[in-house]
Amino acid sequence: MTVLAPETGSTDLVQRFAADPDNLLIASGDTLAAAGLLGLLRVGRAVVVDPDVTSRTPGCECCQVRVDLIDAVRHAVVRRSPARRVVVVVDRAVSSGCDVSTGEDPASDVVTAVHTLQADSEVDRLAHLDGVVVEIDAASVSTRMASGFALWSPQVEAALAIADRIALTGSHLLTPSASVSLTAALDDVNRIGRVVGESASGIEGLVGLDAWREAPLAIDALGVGDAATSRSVSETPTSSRNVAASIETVVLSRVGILDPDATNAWLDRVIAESPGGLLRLQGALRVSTHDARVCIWGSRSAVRSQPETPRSGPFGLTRSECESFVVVVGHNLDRVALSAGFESIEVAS
Amino acid sequence: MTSTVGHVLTTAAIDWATELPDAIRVLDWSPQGRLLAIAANGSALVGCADRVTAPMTPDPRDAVWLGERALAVIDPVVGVVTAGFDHDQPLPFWGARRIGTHGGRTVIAGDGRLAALGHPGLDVVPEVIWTGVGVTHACVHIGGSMWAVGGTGGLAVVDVALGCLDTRLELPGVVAVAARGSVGRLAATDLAGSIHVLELRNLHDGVELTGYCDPVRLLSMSPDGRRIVAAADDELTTWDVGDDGIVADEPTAVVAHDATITALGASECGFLSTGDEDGVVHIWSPLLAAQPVASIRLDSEITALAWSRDGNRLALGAVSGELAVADVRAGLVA
Repeated sequence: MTVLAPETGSTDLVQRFAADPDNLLIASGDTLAAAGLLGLLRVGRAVVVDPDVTSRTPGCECCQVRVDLIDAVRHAVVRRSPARRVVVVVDRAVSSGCDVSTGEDPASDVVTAVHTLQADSEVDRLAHLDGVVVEIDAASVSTRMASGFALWSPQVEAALAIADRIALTGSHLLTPSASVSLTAALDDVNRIGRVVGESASGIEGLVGLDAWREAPLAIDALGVGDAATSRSVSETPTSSRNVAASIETVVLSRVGILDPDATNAWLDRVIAESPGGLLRLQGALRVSTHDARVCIWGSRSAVRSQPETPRSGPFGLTRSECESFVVVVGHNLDRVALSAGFESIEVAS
Repeated sequence: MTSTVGHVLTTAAIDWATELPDAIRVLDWSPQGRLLAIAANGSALVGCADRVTAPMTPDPRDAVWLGERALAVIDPVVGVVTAGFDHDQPLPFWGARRIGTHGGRTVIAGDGRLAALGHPGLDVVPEVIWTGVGVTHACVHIGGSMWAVGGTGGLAVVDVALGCLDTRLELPGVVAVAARGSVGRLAATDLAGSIHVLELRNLHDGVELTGYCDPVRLLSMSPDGRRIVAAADDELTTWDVGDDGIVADEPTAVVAHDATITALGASECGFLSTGDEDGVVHIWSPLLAAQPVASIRLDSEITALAWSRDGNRLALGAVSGELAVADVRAGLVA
């Protein structure tokens, strides 16, 4: 599954995804109508959803799930010849559920959609999250930047922070300096994904990412992929940039075969101490119970795991058998505590 | 099927099998034993193996016999599509998810509403009752003119004769509902993984059964209302309920399948059928909880199971479109 968050009012990316016969769209009726894609319903290449958010624990925001997505994925996948890829379109349009004071609307929240796809065991059985693609209108953001306005809402910022690909549209309209500023602002928010320009007419580079179930390949870009780096490393947004992002990315790495119980206990603590603020958690852990590393991934309170599949990634990583990495993206992260906790995990005897 | 002292020698043999163009989504038996099967592409098998229709609707979610000669299929976008009546135009109902029929009334639930129609022959303008439960995931008849509707916003009990909402309970997203009106008992599962056992005479004073990691989507209640069976992952858990409505402290649990259970069907005779993602179907006797009394295998994940009203025939549907009907004969030896 690919989660796609198009820019408000933009239909180009949705149409590009729809043009691929391997894709089945899960989208609202309004989105399909605006993109002229209602006809896909008749041929079974689209499923209409009406965002329906509820919390598994009453009153708990971090337990919010989109029930409509669970239902839609089940009906899309349990088919004789299911589509090769399911594209979940998360509208950025403000709905009636929007909090006027914060601009936040759980129905159009990418993190809520991602959490739903990972938290539900039935969805996890049927399909897996491949990547998150967020579209940004470069001209619009650049204008806001030049005017001194907030570049994006907190909800869009959270979506950008966990995106595997940021699809930048209209970037050819920017001046070179504006383009540099925008790139820097996106770098501040997102340290895992990659910005993709609009040169491609199809969806190459936006699908087949397998970015959530494996070790985070882009970790190398953060400069901690070297096996010689055995200490915990933290990445914080640079304050010298045009925008001071409120979301942090913390990267932890260490060498050694970890004790599984102590590792689980640490993970439990990380989730318990920042459930609402934990936007994305991903890593590869070398624990004594498995020959291969164990990949972990999740968001908010949902974390899944599976043994790592050996492969050579596009970054050409050199993976030491004894290296463990964890990337944490979230609000108000206690970097010192995270680092200390990770370092304190006992090594297996 | 006769009641016996045991069901060890129960047999289940496939009588006939066929294949529909897509995964089987819904199975329903008419009172006289005609089978209705709806495939994911909207095709319907009506009555016998060689009678398969063209797609009736693009995304069918539920279907039901309306008597012996008519049927209704619902679709969240199209609404209600009927066959067997004079008019063939769909009845618009945005978000329709569940349909049921009892006592000459047909109800359609979805999107926070419940529409009550008379049948045979569907009214052009149904009576619409607001349930307030949001997107609807369950709708069951609980006796008389009362229906229980479960959805995102909780559980609602609706009196379709009076056309009003009787009771509404705020539960964290109702996933499945099972009820026995004859004993006045209802069970509902929620997104938090709990099962709520409620007595219809006082819905506000129920028992919450916990211990499930994930929401329980497959739930049934025995005809006498004294056993509530939940299927979660590969396990079947049975909660015994006393005459006084007191639920046992601990359930009886059995690892029922080698793979995730994906379908559950309860017969009016007390037999239970479970199907898993490997295509294995087990039949369970109420007299022998520890192991299945018969098994059948289809070629792919089981998506639907339905017992005929007399409990002698079991319809099985799979994700490949394979559809089979098995004759089930209860064993006589304990």
